[in-house]
Amino acid sequence: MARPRKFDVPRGVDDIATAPITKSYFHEIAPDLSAELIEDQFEVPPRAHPVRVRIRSEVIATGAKQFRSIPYLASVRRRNADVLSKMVLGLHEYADRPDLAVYTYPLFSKSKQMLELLEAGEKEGNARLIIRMIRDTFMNGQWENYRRSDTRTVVAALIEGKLIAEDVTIADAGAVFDKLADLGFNPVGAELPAMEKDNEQEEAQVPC
Amino acid sequence: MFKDNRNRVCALVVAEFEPKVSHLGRRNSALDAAQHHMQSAIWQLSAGRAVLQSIDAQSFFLLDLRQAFFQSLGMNGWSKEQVIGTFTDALRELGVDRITKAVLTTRVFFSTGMLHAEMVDLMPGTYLAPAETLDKVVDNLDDAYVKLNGTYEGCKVALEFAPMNPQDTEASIMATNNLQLFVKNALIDSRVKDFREQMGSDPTLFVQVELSRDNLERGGFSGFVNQALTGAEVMTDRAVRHLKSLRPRR
Repeated sequence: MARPRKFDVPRGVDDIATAPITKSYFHEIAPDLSAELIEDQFEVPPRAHPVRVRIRSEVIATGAKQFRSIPYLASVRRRNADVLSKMVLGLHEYADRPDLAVYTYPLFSKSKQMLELLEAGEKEGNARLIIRMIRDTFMNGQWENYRRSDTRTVVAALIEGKLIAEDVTIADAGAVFDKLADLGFNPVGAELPAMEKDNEQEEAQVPC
Repeated sequence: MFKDNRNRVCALVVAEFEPKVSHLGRRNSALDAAQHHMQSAIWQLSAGRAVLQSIDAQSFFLLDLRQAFFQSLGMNGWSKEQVIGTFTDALRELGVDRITKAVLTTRVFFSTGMLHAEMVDLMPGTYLAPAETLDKVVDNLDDAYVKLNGTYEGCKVALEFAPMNPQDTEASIMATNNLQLFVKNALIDSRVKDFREQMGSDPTLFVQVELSRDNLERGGFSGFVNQALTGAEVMTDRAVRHLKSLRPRR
């Protein structure tokens, strides 16, 4: 009886020897989008015929979508707005202190933090616009306005009414702008230096 | 809220009473009265209990020696008036004057549009202690189940609340008691499967509200059902809005 040569495959084993090998890799993207490497190696035993090796790689993006859904970010906005509104009302304790600015700083930080949290929100643009206007009221000496009780009440009511809502519309942002302007704030932010040319025109319009 | 989620709400109404020997003789006329309201062609009778199945309405009414019981899968096929009529007439025919305990339970598998992890993330600070406090107990909060006991307008309330992934939702639905009574033939009837599948593969927010009242006259049962159904809807709405940091409706 002849001895089988090396790599000779006995009858009936041929199909098994050429069956494809499948390797699967899953790349699950986490919410922090951090990069990771998957490295692997495996040996294919010697066969009589070529072996098909099938590599299957799947990217699972569910994790990356976490903490970005529209209802979730709206809930985060409302939760933080509630805190901010209470912080505004809480300023009454410090309203008469000369160092009021120090006590408005946590409100400025909270507004900034809210802007960062809502940065990924595709439907939070109007809310961010309002938060920026509120944030600006704690800048450039405008905090002095918070010494007045009506200012604190109105700003807290604006946060409560416009940011703790199902949706925030552009009309809401407009209404907040008007209210803040009525309170003596400059919701646009930092004041721009007046242009010289404009001054000249103004002067020219003044009758002699 | 229930109106917009009729296919996601299950309801259960129970009236418990003291058993009497005389109930045995009156049971058939009580069932007859109940059948008039349930418009049920399918009935089962055994020594201990009788069941009227309303397959198309996905509901049934059960009567035994201690309780009358109504259960539904979804809210499409029945009305509050039908439930009140079924109980009131059946209990009157049975000779029950005093109900020892009345219970109404609703379960909603609510779609919030959020992922399971997002709903869990909103639990600290709303239903649980703030995240920084919980960190002292568990490293990472992956899931939570909350049960609150209290009162609502004189009724006892038990509210259970949990974010659920699709597997949890399916397991909860399949763990519902008496599912076999919602189908005509368990091997070919797909009603329970359809109820599960119409929820899709999205995560759900499970809210179960149980309102109960002890020791009331039979005549007070309709008032209880009215009050409890409104209460269950109000509390479910409040529970969902609280998670989303929305103010309660006025």
